[in-house]
Amino acid sequence: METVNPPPEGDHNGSTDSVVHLPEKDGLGRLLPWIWLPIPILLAAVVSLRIIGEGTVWEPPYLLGILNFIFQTAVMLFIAFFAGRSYVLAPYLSVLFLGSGCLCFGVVSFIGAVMIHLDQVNLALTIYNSGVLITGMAMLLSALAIRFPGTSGTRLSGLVVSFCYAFLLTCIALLTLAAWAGLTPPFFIQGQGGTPLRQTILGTAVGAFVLSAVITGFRGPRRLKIFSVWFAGGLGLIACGLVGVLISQYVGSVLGWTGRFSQYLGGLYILAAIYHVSGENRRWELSLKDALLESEERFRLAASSANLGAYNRDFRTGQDYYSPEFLAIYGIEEGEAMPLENGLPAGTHPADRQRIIDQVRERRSRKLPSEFSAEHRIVRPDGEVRWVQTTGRMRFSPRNVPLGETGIIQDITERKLSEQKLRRNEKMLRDVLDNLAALVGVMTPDGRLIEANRTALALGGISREEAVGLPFEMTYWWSWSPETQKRLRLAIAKAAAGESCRYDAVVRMAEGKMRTIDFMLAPLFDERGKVKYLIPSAIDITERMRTEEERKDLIADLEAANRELQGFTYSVSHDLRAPLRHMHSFTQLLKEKIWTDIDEEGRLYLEKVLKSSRRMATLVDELLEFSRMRRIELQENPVDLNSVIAETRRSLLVDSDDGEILWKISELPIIRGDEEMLQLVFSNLVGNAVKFSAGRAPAVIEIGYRQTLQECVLFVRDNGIGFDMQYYDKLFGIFQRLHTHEEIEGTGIGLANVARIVERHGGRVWAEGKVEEGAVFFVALPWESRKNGGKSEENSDSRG
Amino acid sequence: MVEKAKRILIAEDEEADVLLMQIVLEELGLRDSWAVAHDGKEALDYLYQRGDQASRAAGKPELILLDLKLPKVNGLEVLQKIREDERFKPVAVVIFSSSLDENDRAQAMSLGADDFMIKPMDFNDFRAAIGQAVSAHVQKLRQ
Repeated sequence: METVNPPPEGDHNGSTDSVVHLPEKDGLGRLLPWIWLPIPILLAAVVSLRIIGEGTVWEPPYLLGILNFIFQTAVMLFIAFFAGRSYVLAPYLSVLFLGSGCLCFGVVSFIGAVMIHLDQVNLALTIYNSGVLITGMAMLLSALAIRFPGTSGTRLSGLVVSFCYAFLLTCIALLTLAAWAGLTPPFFIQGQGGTPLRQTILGTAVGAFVLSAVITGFRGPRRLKIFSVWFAGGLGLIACGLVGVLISQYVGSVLGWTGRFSQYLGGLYILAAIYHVSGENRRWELSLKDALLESEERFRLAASSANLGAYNRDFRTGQDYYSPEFLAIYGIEEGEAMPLENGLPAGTHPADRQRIIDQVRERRSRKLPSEFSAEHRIVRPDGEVRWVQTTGRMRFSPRNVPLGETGIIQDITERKLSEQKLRRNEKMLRDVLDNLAALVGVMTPDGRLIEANRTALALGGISREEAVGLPFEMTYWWSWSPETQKRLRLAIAKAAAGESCRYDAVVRMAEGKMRTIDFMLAPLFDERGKVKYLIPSAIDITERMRTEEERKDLIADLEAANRELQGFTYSVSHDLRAPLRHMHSFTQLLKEKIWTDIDEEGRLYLEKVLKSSRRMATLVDELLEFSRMRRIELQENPVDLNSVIAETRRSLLVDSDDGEILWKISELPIIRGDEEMLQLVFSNLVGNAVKFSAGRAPAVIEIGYRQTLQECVLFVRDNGIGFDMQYYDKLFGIFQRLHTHEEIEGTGIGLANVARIVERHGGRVWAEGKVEEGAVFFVALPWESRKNGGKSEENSDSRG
Repeated sequence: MVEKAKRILIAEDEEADVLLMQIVLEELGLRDSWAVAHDGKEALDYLYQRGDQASRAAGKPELILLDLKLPKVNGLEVLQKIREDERFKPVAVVIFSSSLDENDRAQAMSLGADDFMIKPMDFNDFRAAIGQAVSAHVQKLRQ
């Protein structure tokens, strides 16, 4: 809005108005040096007439009434009206008092004139002089108010004026009635002049006028020079006239008329002062309007091209303007009037209406700044809801009277929708972040935490305020140990340089409990590749670590127990071997020595001893072999299974002189494994097949394989005595046998060895059998041996 | 009475084994040609004529049948000591052990044992093993 000159009234407390530049070019300003002139002339005339005689008494009927009505009553009421209106616009007390004084003066002059016409001179002067005293006092107050300016509240100014004026009129009416009823003492005796009472009253009034003239004229604010000088001149002339009245002894004498003339002139002076003020007011408003029109025009061009709606509200005239674009935003067709409701466009959304009304009210009473910007919804006539932003400014008169409001509106529905979408997305991300099992945060590259998810806060047992804003190493989680903090600072520096890092750390959680976390710090880059944020994240691995520890302990225990057991097995079998050998050897020697000396029964016993000790020797040897199989390292090489089987058959044919065996052997593949051990596997399996199918005619032994992607499944099938699947779980256990020694020789270690060797190759063994119908033993060996050997040495994941 | 140095030293702590060996050696006609040491220290004392053996007649055995699991000084240590001494170079050392451990065999052979035998379960095999050792390393029988 353009800066305009406010009217030259009073000192403004408000800070919104610009510095006043007074254009002193009207006639009233030019006359300024001369306006004091009539005062000394008239004063001199009055005084000299009193001295040389008052002259002829001339009081034609109606003349005083007409003159008083024209020059005092009309003029003063006119002033009172102007002052009242001015006070409503700008509640300056000086104006209120001035108006009140003039109203009183105008009314009592008229009443006085009428009384004199009715020949009620005493009555006239009683009313008139009392009224003049009231007027004088009001003027004095007005002068003081100009000298010491101040405003009353704006809201009730109309009421204040009405009350003041009405009160004065009531007082005058009561005074008139009292005087008419003869309740007042005499004021004036024709030929003698005023009584002492009247002289006192009138004298006081004169004093008040003179004093207010002096205050206004000499001590009035410089900015209000034209107004205050004319006002002071008027007051001086009235005072001068009152002196005439005061010293006159005859109503209607030349002296009296001179005084009256002086008062009329004074009234005109004050009128001039008021005229000047309202002229200034008018010019200011006109310039305001021009400026508005001009800026409106400029604005409208800009607004329509930017699709902005413009409006202007005039609080005084109620003539509001809404631009076509404004109407379009509200969904009103061009040319139609804007439907209003309580001064607001009817399309304002009901949910926002009260808020807007409250804001307008607060702006009007200046509780809110005059410039504003607010977002609210509107409902178009077709029911569509849109979001608009209103930006505007409320205009005030220099005395803080709200004049109107100008602004623009913009349809921001799209922006609002995308904002809402953004907020929804943000909320979703926030929810995701908060509901992660991991502890996650965000910090600036210099290591200040700016966000932490709920998991992190909850596990730490702290509130968001206790963590966010602090350097990360000062937060509750980390601040328990300088060493931990040091490590973290290094990590932050590394991450700020663009390198993420990860390590296991011990942090403090709720109730001071220490937890181990898998901590990761990753830099987040902006589009130019600069580190924008650092993202710390962590998972509580305390339980996992504990489990891992427990598992390791358990494995260590198991391994120790296993080693002990192996050592035990070895030494037992080893140490058993010697006494057994001695028993056997000496029994053999005994046999050689006494064989011919003993009977058949003795020989049988001797043979039984030898057989038992041999069997025990076999048992011990196999036990030793079994424990060796568990201990020795696998020597993995490509193994041609065909040669393994051939070797097995060779050794078996040497050992066995059993009957016919029909061999069905497929061509076998080459696999990776320990040749010696695999040899043992097949000599056991094939040996078993031979053993268990002995007595069949013919015994059929089939060896073959099938392959899958992962493994080679070998099988050895026989048509021997088979086994009952019911006892399957005993098949591969050590010292477990399904047949008696009388039926089949064996120690029960062979298949246990097979299972053990195959397991160490990462394979599986299983069997199928049926009593008297034969058995099949399967050995599945992986193409690529895992070589776990049954030892659980997993590669532990070492980091940081 | 100064005893004549024996041709075979049996270093064996097990009485039963000592007896079995003696039976075989007697069968082979080597009566009175062996000495017995019941632990490793005794074996070394015998060889170096010290301690209890200080007064015995000088002379080296042709063959030592050495057990590995000997008290005081074990068989491998005895073997090492013998092989470190140039004077005992011509002495044959045959390990007679009950150990099935391949490591023992490898270690003994690398220390310079002439043979490594596992004491067989069957007495006939035992007899044959001793016979083999004696015929390979004791002069008289080879002649």
